[in-house]
Amino acid sequence: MRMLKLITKSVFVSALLLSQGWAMDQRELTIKAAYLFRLSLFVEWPPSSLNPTGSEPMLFCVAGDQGMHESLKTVLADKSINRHKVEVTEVQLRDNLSACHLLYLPRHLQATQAFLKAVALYPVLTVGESEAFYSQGGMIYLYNKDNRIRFAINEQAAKKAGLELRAQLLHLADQPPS
Amino acid sequence: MIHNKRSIKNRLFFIIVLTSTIVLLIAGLLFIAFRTVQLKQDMTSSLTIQAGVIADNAQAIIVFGDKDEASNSLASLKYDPQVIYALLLNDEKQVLAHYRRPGSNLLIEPGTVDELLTEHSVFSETEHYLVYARPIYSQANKIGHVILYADFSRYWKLLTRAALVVAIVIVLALFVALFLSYILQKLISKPIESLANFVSTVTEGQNYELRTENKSYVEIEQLAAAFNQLLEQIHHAISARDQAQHQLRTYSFQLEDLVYQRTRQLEEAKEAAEASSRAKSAFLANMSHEIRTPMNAIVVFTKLALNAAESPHQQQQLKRALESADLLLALIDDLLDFSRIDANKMELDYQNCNLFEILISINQMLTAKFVEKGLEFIIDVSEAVPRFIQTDSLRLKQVLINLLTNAIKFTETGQVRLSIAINTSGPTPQMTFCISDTGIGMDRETVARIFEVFSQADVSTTRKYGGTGLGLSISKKLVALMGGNLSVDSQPGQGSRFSFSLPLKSALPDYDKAIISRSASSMPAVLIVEPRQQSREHLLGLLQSLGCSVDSVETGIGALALLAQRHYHHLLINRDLQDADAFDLVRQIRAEPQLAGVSISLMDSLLGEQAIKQFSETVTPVGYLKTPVFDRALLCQHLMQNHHEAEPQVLPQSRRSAQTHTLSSVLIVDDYHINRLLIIDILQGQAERFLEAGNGREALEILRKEKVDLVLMDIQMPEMDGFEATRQIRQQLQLTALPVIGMTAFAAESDRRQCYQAGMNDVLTKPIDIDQLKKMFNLLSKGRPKLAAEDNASPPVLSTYRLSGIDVESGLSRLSNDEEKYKKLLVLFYKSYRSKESLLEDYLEQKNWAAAEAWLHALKGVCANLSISSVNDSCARLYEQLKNRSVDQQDLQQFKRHFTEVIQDLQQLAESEP
Repeated sequence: MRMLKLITKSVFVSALLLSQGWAMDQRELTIKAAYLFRLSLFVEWPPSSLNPTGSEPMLFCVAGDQGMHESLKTVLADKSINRHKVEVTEVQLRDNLSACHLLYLPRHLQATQAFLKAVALYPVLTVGESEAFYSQGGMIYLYNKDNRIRFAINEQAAKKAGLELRAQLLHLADQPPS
Repeated sequence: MIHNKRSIKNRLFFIIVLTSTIVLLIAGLLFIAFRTVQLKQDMTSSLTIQAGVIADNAQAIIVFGDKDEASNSLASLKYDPQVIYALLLNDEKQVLAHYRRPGSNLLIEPGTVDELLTEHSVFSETEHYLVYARPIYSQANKIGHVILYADFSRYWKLLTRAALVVAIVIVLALFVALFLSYILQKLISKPIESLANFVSTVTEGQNYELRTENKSYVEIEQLAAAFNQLLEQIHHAISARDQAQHQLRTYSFQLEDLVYQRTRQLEEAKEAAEASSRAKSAFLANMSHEIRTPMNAIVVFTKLALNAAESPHQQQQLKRALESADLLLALIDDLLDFSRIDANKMELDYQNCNLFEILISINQMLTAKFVEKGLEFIIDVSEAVPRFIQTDSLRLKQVLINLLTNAIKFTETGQVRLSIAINTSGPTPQMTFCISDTGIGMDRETVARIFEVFSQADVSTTRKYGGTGLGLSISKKLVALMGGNLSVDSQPGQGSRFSFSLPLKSALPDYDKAIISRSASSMPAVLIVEPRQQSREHLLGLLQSLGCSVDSVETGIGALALLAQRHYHHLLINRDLQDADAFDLVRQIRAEPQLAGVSISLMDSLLGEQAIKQFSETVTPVGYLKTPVFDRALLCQHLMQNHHEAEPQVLPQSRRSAQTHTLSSVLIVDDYHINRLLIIDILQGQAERFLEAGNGREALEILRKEKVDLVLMDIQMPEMDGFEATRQIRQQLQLTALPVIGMTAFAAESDRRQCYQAGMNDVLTKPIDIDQLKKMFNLLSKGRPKLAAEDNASPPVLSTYRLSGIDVESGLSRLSNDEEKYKKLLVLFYKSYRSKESLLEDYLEQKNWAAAEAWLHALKGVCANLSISSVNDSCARLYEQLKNRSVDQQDLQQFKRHFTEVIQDLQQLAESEP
C-alpha cells in the first residue's frame, strides 16, 4: 500500500509540477504577449510603414515559436492599436519580414542574428529575450527579474530602423542585466 | 422711513440712499453669484487639466503597472490645494496608486468609484467634494482611469471672502452715497429754502413791495414767479385798503363831531327835562301843603259844624260833606303818594317797629268797618314771626290797611284773614303777608287790570263801593319799593287772595319764645266757646301751640255740657254767642259752685271793651281778650295770670286820665289865617289869651315882647319856617322851657325827628286831630311837656319831683330827652356836691382866690350842662366878682341858698334811685 501511495503521490506531484510548469509557461507567454502589445502602444512606426490615419492592420510576426504565436493570437485577438487591427503570424527567415511591424524572437531561437540582419533596415520593432539578441542589435530585450518581466531598450537600434520610441517607455526601461 | 415732517431734503436724501443701497445690493449679489459660478468652473477646469496631464503622462506607467511611478505621477497633485484624494486605476479596475492630501480625512464610500469608471470623463459631486474621473487611453485603448477628488472647503472659503468683500464695499459705498446725497440734496432744497425765506421776510416785515429773483430750476422758478404775482396783487390790495381806511377815518372824524354835537344837544335836553321834573316834584310837595291846608280847614270846620248841628237833617248833610271831604283828602293823599313814588321821591323810613303794635293799630282803625259789615277778622301770625322788625311802619300800615279795606269792601259775608308767616326757603328770609277774603272775587280780566291806576273793575263798582281807585297801584308800588311783589289770586265768587313777601329784617330780639316756653309746662286747660268756625279753629291752633290742652264748642249749651264733664282752668267765651247771651252764660257758670275755680275771659272787638269791663266790675270778674287774637305771648301771659284777681287785661295800656289846667297865653304861628282861627276855635276855653303870628319872624317878635305859655308852630311858612323859628326861640331868645308844638303836613318819622331836632317838644300832623291836640294840651298844662310816647315808653319819673331851680325841660332836651341819663347825672351831681355848700365861703375866708375861681368855674359848667339854672346864674355873677377879688355878700348868700335848695331837691331824687 505504501508504495502505491508513494507512487501515486509522486506521479501526482510530478504532474502538478509539470502542469504548473506548463501553466507557468503558459502564463509567461500570455504576459509576454501582453507586453508585446503594450510595448507597441508606445512605439511610433514611420508613416510609410504604418499610416497614422489609416486602418490597415498591424502585423506582429512571431519567429519559430508556436506557443508564442498561439498566445499572441489569443491575447491580441481583438486588439487594435489606433484602428490598426493587430494580426499575428508566424514567420520564417525566408519570409518577407519587411511587412512586419513587430518581430518577436523567442529566447531559444537560434537564428536570432540572422533575423535581426534581415530586418535591420526596415522599420520593424524587434523584441527578444536573449542577451545575444540585445547585444546583436535587438531593440527591446524582455527578461525576467524578480518574478517580473522587465524590458531593456536599445534606443539607437530603434532610431536606426526609423522607429520612434516614446519617452515614457524609455523612462520605464530597465538596464539589461549584465 | 425717515418722515421727519415730510421735508424735501429728507425725501431726496432718503431716495438717493435707498437707490444706492438697492443698486449696490443687486450688484453685490450678482457679483457673488458670478463668483460662485466662476469658482466652480475654476475647480472643474483645474481638475480637468490636472487629470489630463496625469493621464497623458501616466500611460506607460499604467500600462506596465509600475506602482511607484504611478505614485510619483500623482505626486504633483500636492500643488493643488483643492485636490484631497486621487486614484490611478488600470483597466482591470485595480488601484495602481492613490494620493491623499495630508490632513484630509476624506472617506470614499466603496462602490462609488465604480460608478465613475465610464468611457467618458465624468464629474460627480457631493456636498463635501467634487469628483472628476477620466479614462486614460493609449492609442485608442482604454488602459485605465484617473480619479481626482477636490474639496469644497476652499471653494466656500473663497466665496465667503468674496461675500465679505462685497459687503464691506457696499457699506463703504453707502457711506459715500450718504455723504454725497447730503451734499447734493442741497442743490434742490436750497432754492426752495431761499424762496421760503423770502416769503417769511415779506410776511414778517409786511413789505409787499419785495420781489424775488430765483434762478434755480424751472419748477421753482415757476413758483417764484407765481409768488411775485401774488405779492403784486397783495400790494395793490393793501394800497386800496389803506386808501379806504384813510377815507373811513375822515368820515369817522366827521361822525364824531356829529355825535358830539348831538350828545350836547341831548344833554341839554336831558337837563331841561330833569329840571322840569324836579320842578314838578317840588311843585307837588308844595301843593301837598297848599292843598291840605284848606282841606284841613274844611274838615275841621265841618266837624265843628256837625258837633254844633241841631237838626238831624243838618247833621245828615254835614256828614255827607264830611265824607266827601274825607274822600277828597284820601284821594289827595293817594295822588301825592302815587306821584311821589312815581317820581322816585318816595323814601322809605326804616325803623325798629313793633309789628304787633302795627297790627293792633290797624285793627283799631278797621274794627268798626268789620263790625259794621258783620265780617270775621282773623289775624294769623305764625310762631316764627318776630315781634320787632325793621320796616317803614307807616307804609306797611298803608299797604295792609289798603288791602284789608278792599277786602272788607268787596266781601259781604264770611271772613277776612291776614296771615303773616316766615319763609326761609329762598336765599334770604322773607316775611309773607297774605290777605284773603270770602268776597265776590274777580274775573281774569279784572285780575289783570287790578293794579292799574283808576281801574276799579269798572265805573259801576267805583260808584257802588267807593274808594279812590289808586289804592292798589300805590300798594303795589310801595311793596315793590320795600323789596317785594304784590300779587293777587282770585276767582269770581270765591274771594281773593292778595299776597306779598318782604325781606325780613328783624330788629330787636323779643322775649316771646322765652315767655311761652317758660310757661309751656304749666299751661291751663282751656275751653273755647266760639260760634264762628274760622275764629274757633284759629284760637284752637294758637292755644295748642302754647301747650294748652284745648277743647272748643260753638254754643253755650255745649260749653255747659263740657264743663260738667271735664275740668278747665280757663274759659274763653266770645261775646256774640248764637244761642245765648255771653253774660248770661257767665252768670250761669258762676252760679255753679264746682266751677268756681274757673277763670273766664270774654272775647270781643275793642268796641265791646267797655261793656265787658263794666260787666266785670259790676257782676263778676271776667278777663277781656280783644279780638282778633294773635299775640301768643300776650295770650300766654293772660292765661297765666291769676284771673281771680278781677283786673281784666286790657290792651294796650290805658292812657292816664287827663287833668285840665288852663294856660294863660298861647301863641299860634301859621301863615294861613284860617288855620289860626281854627285852632283858636278848637282851644276855646283852654287858654286865657291867644296870640297869632303869620310866620317865624313875627312869632319871634311877639315872643320877645310877651310871655307865652305855649307855641303852636306851623312848619311851612314864608320868610322864616317853623324849624328856624323854633331854633331861634331856643337859642336866640333862650326860651328853652317854652313848649313848642309843631304842626306838619308830613307824617313821616324823619319829619318828626326834624321837628324835635329843631327844638320842638312835640309834633302834630295835619289835619289836626282835635282830640290829640286837646290831650297834648292837657299834658302840657300839667307843666311837664314831654315828647309823644314811643311804643311802650315808661312814664317819665322826673315829673313827679319838685326840682326848683332846675330847668328840667332844657336839661332833658340837651340829653335828647333821655330821662334816665338826666336823672343819673343829677344824682351824680348831688353826690358830688352834697356837702359842699360852705366850701366857697371857706375859700373866700382863706383868701384862696385861685381855688375859689376854679371850683366856681367847674360848678358853673356843670350847672349849665344840667340846666341847674338858679345855681348857674349865681355862679356867673360870683365868678365876675371873683375876678375883681371882691365878692358881694348878698350875692354869696343867694348863691348858697339856691345851691342848698337844689341839693335838697336832688336828695329826694337820689333817694329814689337804687
